[in-house]
Amino acid sequence: MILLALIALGLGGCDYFPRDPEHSLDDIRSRGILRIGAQQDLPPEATQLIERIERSTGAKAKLSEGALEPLLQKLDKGEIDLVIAPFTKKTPWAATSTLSPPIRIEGHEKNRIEWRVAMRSGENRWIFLVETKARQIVRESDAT
Amino acid sequence: MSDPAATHVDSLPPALRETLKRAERLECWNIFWTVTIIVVMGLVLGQSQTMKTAWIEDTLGLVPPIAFLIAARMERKGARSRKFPFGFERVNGLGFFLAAVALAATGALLLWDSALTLIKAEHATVGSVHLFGRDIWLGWLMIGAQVYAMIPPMIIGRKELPLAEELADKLLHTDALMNKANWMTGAAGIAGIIGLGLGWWWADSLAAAAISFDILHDGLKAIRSSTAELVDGTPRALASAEIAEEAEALEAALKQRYPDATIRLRETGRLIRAEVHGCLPPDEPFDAQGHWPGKAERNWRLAQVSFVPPADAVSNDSTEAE
Repeated sequence: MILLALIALGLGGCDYFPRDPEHSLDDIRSRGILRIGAQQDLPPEATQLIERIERSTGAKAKLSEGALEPLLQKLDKGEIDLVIAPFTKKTPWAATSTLSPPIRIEGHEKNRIEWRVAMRSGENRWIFLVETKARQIVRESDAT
Repeated sequence: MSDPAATHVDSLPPALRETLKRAERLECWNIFWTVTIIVVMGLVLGQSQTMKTAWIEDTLGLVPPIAFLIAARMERKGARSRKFPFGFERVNGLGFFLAAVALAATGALLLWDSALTLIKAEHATVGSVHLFGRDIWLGWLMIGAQVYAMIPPMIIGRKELPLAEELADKLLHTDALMNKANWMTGAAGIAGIIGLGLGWWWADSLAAAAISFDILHDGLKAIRSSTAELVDGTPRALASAEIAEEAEALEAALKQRYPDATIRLRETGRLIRAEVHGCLPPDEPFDAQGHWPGKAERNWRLAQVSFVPPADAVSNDSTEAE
């Protein structure tokens, strides 16, 4: 029974799985706007990432600036879609928002700063898309 | 039991000693497979409450086999001494109690944890990994790990049950039931992850709550049964807190033989000890195991029949026949 259900899901559901509980990705597509929050000027990796996400969602990025904490709060309420910011390795924000793999690393060891993209927790389809694009950028910059 | 330094196992029938060895080997395999499950599940744990709960349950699954192996070793190797004149046959009961408390406490803690996640409506993130040149949703790997985690317990649990019956071993029996119930945990876990994938954020915590409730239930049942043995209650059935059928039959048989006496039965590990109160021992040569009412191959369970004469009798306080 379970196995059958799994096989059915595996065959038919790859594109369909996982879904967003709060429909983040669907909303971005239908709105046509990608709402991004940032605290400071973005590094080239972040710009590249935004371009890729724009391409695959068909939404246009709209940047708003602000302090990190209010931005993350807006993210948690679904008022913006992404926050791109530098985080420390043991950032407490990892507990409240979902952070992508680092797209840019500055400094070493104790002074290491990682640029990551924060997303609303639990929006697994949206997270999947952003993580995939972030990893692509890391792979490409590693290759060059 | 002529050799005073003998161990508990030395006084068991040889066939039973073989069964005990078989059970020990099975428990070693049990530990091995459980460790592989813990590793596989640990690799794909992620942020899911379901996975965390299932992983802790799998880790807890190590407690009964380890307790059983320690107890069995002490039963085999621990000789009676001046400090431990009754040997180590009750280590099993103590291990059973410890396992039961650990189980119940963890179950309660996890239930609290998942209830809190549900109440706070926390949405669990299950991210993705890059494997073999593809981006894969971690949920698929979690489901795979859960399916794997269902297989060894199913097989081991089924093999443990008959051994537990033969050995009258509650610890082994509890372990067998826990193993058998583990496939339900797996199914609940898979349902939780699939639900999460369908966009139902609550599916994850709900499945976790179901799993933790099951752990708590197992623990409470085991506590009831194990405390009964530790406070010298009448021997209980393997699967429940009710009096065992064998004990009922033995009590009836002793009552018939000594109609005016009060019969008290208790259990030390896998053995049953009987006290006949208010009655002097019979004069004819005494055969304790001849008092066993059931099948002869089970008569090893009756290890001792003691007689406690009435207070006004002018003989020694207590006479024991073995």
